[in-house]
Amino acid sequence: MHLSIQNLCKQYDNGIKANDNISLEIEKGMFGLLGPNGAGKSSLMRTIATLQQPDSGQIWFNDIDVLANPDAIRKQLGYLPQEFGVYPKVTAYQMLHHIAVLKGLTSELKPWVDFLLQRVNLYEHRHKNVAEFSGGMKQRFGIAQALIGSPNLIIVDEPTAGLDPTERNRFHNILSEIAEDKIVILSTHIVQDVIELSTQMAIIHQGKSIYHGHPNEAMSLLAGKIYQKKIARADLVTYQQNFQIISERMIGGALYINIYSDQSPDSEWTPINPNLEDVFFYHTQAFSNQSPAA
Amino acid sequence: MLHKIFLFELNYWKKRPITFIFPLILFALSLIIFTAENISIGGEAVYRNSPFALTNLYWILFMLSPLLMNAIVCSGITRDYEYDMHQILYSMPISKFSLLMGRFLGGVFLILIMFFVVIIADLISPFMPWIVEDYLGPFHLGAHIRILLSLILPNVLILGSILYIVAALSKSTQYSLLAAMVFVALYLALVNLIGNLDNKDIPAFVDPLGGLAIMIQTEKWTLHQKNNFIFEFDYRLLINRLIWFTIAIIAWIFAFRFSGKSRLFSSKNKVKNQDSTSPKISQPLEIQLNPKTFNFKNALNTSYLEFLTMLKSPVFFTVLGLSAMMMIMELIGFVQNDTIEGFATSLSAYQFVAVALQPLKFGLIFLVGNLVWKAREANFSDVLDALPNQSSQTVLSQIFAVLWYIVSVLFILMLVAIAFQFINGYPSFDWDVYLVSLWFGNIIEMFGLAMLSMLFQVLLRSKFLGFLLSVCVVFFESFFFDWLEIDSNLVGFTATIPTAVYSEFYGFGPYLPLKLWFGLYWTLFFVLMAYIAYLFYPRGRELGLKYKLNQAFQRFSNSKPFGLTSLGLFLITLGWLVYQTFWVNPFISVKEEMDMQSYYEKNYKSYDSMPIPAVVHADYTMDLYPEDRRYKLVGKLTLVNFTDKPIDTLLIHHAPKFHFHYDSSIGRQVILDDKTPNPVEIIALNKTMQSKDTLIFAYDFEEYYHGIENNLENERLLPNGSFLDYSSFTPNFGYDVSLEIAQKSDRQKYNLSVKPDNFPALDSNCNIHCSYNYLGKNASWATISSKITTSADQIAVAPGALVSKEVKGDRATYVYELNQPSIFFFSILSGRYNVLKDSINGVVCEVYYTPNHHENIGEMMKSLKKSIAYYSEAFGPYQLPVARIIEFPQFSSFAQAFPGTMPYSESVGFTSNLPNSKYDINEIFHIVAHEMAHQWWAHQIVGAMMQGATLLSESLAEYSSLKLLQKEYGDDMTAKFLKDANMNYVFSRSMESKKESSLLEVDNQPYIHYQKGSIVLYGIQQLMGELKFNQVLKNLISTFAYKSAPYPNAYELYNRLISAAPDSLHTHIREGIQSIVVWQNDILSLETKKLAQGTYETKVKLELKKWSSDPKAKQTQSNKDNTIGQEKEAKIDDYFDIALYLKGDDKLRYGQMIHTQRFKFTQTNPEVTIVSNVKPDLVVLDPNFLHIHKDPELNKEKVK
Repeated sequence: MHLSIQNLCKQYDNGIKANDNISLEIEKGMFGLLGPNGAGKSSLMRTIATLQQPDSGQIWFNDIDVLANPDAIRKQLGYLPQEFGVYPKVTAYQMLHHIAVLKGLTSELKPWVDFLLQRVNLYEHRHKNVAEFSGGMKQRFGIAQALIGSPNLIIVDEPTAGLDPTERNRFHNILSEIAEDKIVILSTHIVQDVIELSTQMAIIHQGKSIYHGHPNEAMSLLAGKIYQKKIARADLVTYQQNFQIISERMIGGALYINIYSDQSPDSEWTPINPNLEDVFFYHTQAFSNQSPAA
Repeated sequence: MLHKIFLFELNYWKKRPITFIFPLILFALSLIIFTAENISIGGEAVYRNSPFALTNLYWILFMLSPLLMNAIVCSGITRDYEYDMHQILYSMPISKFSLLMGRFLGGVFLILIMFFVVIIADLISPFMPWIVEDYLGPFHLGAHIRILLSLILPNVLILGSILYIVAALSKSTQYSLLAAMVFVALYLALVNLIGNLDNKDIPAFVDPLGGLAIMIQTEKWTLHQKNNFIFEFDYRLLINRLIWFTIAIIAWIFAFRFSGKSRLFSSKNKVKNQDSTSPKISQPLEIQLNPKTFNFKNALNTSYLEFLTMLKSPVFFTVLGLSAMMMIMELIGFVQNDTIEGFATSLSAYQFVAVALQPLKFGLIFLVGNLVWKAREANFSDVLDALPNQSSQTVLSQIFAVLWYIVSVLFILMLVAIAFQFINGYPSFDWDVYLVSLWFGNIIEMFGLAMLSMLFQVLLRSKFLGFLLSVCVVFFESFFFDWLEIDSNLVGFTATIPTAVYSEFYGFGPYLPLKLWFGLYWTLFFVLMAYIAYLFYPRGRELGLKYKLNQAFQRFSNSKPFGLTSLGLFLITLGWLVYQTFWVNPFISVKEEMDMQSYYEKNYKSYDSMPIPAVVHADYTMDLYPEDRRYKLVGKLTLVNFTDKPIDTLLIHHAPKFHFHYDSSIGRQVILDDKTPNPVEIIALNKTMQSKDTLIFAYDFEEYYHGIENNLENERLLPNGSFLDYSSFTPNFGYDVSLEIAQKSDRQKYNLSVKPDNFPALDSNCNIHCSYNYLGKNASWATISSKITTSADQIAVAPGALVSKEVKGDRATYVYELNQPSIFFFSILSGRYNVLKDSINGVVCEVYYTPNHHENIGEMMKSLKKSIAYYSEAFGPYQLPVARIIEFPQFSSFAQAFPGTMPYSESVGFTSNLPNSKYDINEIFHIVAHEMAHQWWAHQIVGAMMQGATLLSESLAEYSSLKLLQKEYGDDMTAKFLKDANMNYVFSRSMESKKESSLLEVDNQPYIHYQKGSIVLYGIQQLMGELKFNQVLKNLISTFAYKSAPYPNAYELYNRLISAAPDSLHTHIREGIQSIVVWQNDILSLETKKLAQGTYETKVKLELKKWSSDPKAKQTQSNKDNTIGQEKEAKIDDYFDIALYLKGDDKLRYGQMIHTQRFKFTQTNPEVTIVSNVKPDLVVLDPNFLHIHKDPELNKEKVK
């Protein structure tokens, strides 16, 4: 099982370059697509989900040319968009049943619908209107609809945004279960999601793929190169001029900065083990600094 | 704060396309209505920018605005929810009042401003190059402002408020749109309802839009009032506005008081998220995905789901309820008021479904829009569009859902109609007939509208624009194609399938192939439309045109077989029908017909004064093959030159397109010109006809039909019940004035001199026009012999006595002789008839009827015999050996008098229910009596070809039948009849298209010669006495019966009446016949007291107003000073009856009369005292209609 994205470009009518020559190779398992808001993650996912056409580039799923043959990929696809609504006055069961029909399931539908509802813990609520579900329930309903027909490629776009920790955990469990034998592409701007779930990842920034690999690999690349220091806020400008700051954060009311440096600047800096967040900031910062716009 | 929100609202709309598109539409429509030909919005003679016409125009345009109110006013409240702004907005420190009111007023203001474009259209219309001069009168700015401020503004405020509150409470413009539909339908239903009501106050108050009150106020206006005056705030309009403003204010208060922020702005209940221990369900092992992504069964399956959602939406039942309500109201009105028409066939009630289609149309537009945008509005389309189902399946399932919707609504309506007909005594069901009508009558049409609407939605990609365009199609389609002068049934937006006249004589008969072919054509057309909608149906997030075209092309290549097959089938059907309707049966469009008429007049008018011979005897041999719709005829006309000039040339016309051939020994053809409506042939006679010379004109003729016609050209030649008029198989001699274009605007368009009147002016000295009678130059006195063969099971009926009848094999032969020279004006009928026979005074009386239509034949026979008895005694003998009533199919609803025969339509009496009580007007009796009276008035004496001719036929026939009705049913019946005539007259004169004539100079206007004629003549008879009056008529008959030219004119009656009447009646007779006088009276007060001697004295205080208008008024073009229809108060010097009544049976018009007294009034406010033995309950001024009244109900007053 293999999804290959090659040199994908997409520019919207308003001039925004959503995807700029993105190439990714995705294998079975959970693939984390990390990037800040507006990086082009959703756009990329919509293109894979056949909802829009790229200006150039290719997408192959196994031996299916996705762009030329959208119907073929749709049969193996489960898609949970970042935002979605449902029809008013329709129950979870009816809605799933309807989607199952549209997906072309020909076997007995009821066991499937019941199974999926149970799997996402909505079986109890199956006769309630989806429009009245809470945020977490609605997301779980969303994943249920994506799973109808056992798709091999599942795309979930920022599924945990706005969920409380319990719901988020529950959602992660469902996702990781699925990812055992399928490709799941998870887009998120939350680093923690990727750490917890992904076996492969890419960082998307300003429409470009700026890192593509394994999360651990990404972190090991920065090993020994991230230093931290507690500073006074007034000195921040000086530090910005002298160091390559990749992040600033408040811990217990004090300002800490992380910098990237090949060797220890001085003893006031504490070397730290890089985590994925540092990777993320390192790459997005580095990329911004290189880009002519910055 | 309020004004800031108001301004923000205006700003918000400044950049939206609606803000410009809607005024543009209003402007275009106004300009078209002001300047285009073939359009009339106030009556032909009313200026299109007169205050009256402007009111109508604004009213029509206003009907589009509920849509706009939804888009602009209502969305002011709902868009916060749509865009999820409400939580932010409603947590701000803005008062609910300023927010709601500010936005509301902003929207209202915007809509009002949009209507100002009508003023611009009015101002520039006179400068349009195509304008015809007398379309427009002077510019009335005041009228515009008045209408905008007193009609449009209040309605936008009232309707807007209610819709706004509905939208606010439901948080959805769907419900407010629905509410708007209910209001418009309510208005339309009320308009239908009031036609026959005496007291129109309640409907006028209930009408949410106030239009009804204005309609009632202006419905009796004369031309002059329409051109110069604008509606006033009379009590009806005032009360109506008060009621509805109150309702609007209550709606606002309700919105504020009883629905606090929590309710108005709350979000919906959430399901509580509980962890639950649900049973463990294991994953089913099998997964089967359909290998094909398009699946017909799935489309049906999902359509069922979509349809169920429709059923759940309030639209379905609202539409059904409104439609059923409108239809039932019509049906009840039909049964109660039109005593004359009953359910002639099992299809009669079903046809009322047509009046109930408006709600369905709007419902469809609404549903289709919602269906197309449903997923997108629910923000569900991303999920849906990534599913493997094909778009074709989505579209197909939506189309099916729409179809289920149409079929179920129409089917339920059909059942309601059938049930209604069943309850009202027509217990037979013809399901095949119903289903054919359902499918070809309405389903295709509605399906077409739905597909058109879907296409608009898909292509325009805006729900509002889709709605707007679809609604425009509903409102203006017929208008648009009339304007373009396109008549082909192949052209339209929605289906134009030829209408069929269903009859119990032949079922759908010759109409069926037309229906089937055009039905197929339109079905294929809409399939193609649906296919195009599919090609462009939105999927995914791409909106660009290039992408859409690409996608459409891709979808096309994937569905080539279907697309090309349907296109192919459509083109084949189109080609076949074009071939059939343009080559095999070329139809003549209205425009072509007019071109021909104009050509005819320009080329042949000079022959108008040419002397023509008269037919004195006609001999016909006709072979009729009804089942094939074909006949052959050999005719021999004996012509005599009664003029004093020699005739060496004959100009003849004959029916177009068919084989016509005359005996060449008569003369040599000089011209054959078939560019005229009826081909013209000019023949140079071999032998000149000197005065009194005779010529036998022999010819043969054949009429036949095959293939498909655009519309059935001859709906009288039928498999059963053929009714052939002599003019369709007899050539016409001489120039035929009736072929000229009549309408003024059309004549101007063709540069023909304006022809102010139908007939030449009345001249007291009989001039050249007295040498012909008004039935036509060829309508001389003639005898007729006819031999007709027809199918063996049919009876053929021709004028005169039956001489022989013979059936041989599958053919029957009938020979008739008419020996009494009669007006050359007759018909031949053939059908499978039963015959009821009787006789009176030696005259054979017969009623020919189709076997199951036997209910009312007894009543017809009764009226036939009573007519012959009374008229023979009163006016002179009936001169023919037979009197026949012959039923014909309901392609038309009339009865017509030919010499000795009366073809009578199945729909005006053969199957209707007779009146329930003896108090109701018996229309069947009356129609037969009227037509029989024509055997004297038209067939014994006939008016000269000039104005006033119909006074001598129609008015006298109407008088005669009324007198017979009085003898049979009494004064109460005639009072009811005269009241109806009175109302009909005052309404019809308001619709006059040229100018109202006096009765003496009546220019063939039905409302004058029937309704006014009956009141005036019956009134004079009441004042003169029956004997004296009838003596005048008898004298007229004895002087002119069966006499050749010069024919009598209206003065012959008028002068005889004047000389027979005492001097005291001369004014009354003169004003009734020579002038136009209408009264507006009121009983101001009544006082009754008991006198000492036990009698009662009633004091009556009256107010009399006598309005007179000048029948000679002319329109002076230059200064637009139009005095036609201007009424002035006239001097009173008139007789009036005042009658006293006791309360009697409700079914009587007044009650039991206890006293009647005649007065002569000379003042406007007379006071009279009447003494009676009993205390009266009711006082009535002019109970028996000596005069015509604007409002006869005001002549009645109850004693307190």
